[in-house]
Amino acid sequence: MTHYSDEELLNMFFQGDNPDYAFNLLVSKYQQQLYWHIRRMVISHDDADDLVQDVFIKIWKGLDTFRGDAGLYTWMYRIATNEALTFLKKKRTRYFLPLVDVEQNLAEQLEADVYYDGNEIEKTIQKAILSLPEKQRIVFNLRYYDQMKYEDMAKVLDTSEGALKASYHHAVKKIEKFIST
Amino acid sequence: MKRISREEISRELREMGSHLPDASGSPGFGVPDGYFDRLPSDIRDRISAEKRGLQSPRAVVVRSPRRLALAMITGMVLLAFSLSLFLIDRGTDNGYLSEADDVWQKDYYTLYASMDPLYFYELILDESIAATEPSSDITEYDDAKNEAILQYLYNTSEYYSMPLEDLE
Repeated sequence: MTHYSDEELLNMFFQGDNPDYAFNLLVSKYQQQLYWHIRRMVISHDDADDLVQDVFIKIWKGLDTFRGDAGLYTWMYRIATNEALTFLKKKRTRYFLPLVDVEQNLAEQLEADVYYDGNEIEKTIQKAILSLPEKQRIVFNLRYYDQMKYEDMAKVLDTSEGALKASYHHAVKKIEKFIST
Repeated sequence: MKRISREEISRELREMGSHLPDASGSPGFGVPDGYFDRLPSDIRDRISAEKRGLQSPRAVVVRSPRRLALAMITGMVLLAFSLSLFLIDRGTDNGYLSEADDVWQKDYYTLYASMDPLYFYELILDESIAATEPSSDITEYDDAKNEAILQYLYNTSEYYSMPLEDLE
């Protein structure tokens, strides 16, 4: 399959004869990145599947108003992050769970998920990540797994690069501490 | 999108003094077979449904079985709760009494409105009480009173062998 740049895809979507085809290419290009970003946040495959579809529907609806001053991919990551955070918030209010219990609940889901078969080290790291505060968890995941630049993360999370570096540093230290105990 | 290299991530971790292992992607996490092959068409179906102004059948039936079950259970619980409240209200003594009281009071006022108040008064009074009620004729009442006094004086004069005139 030909790999189009974001600009080319946007041009095809807005000026081409077949915007549906252009959008399909966009989905194919970014589905895995967005899925894994969401999955690491919500842990369960079923929830991630629901959310990634909702995210692409929102992207499709919002493309008309997308101004392009933010990069397409940081804009999409931003939508995905907000959707995942909203989902976790709803989960907390629906079951009247305090924050700590949601993290505990996610760790239990990890154990029970049929689509997770990490070894002991991977499981321990995942549990350590789940013990982090929500925002710190996102920063760690975006940097450590998605290999995202601080510059791009700043656009996704609407935070300064300095704050993100500090947050990542704290997250790494906490994970190290969790693993060593 | 340009990612930074894995080497750069590792270098950054080393500078922090961290020993976290090198990991890219999502180690341990998996998806059903062919999931990413199907996902674009699933999304396309949902967009088509959105365009038609309908919700995708998959969204209703398959995507949300847990939500559907939860909604059904919640509905049943609410129904049972309101039914139980209704039955408890109907079944208690208070419930019945308050209704009976209402009927009784209604009958009472209906009867009262249709009757002569004096007749009604006699109806609800005991006979004994009614008998001791003073007569409405004040002269007759006074005569009876005088007669009793005279009888008392007569008896007293006889008892003390005194002429009645002296006692008066």
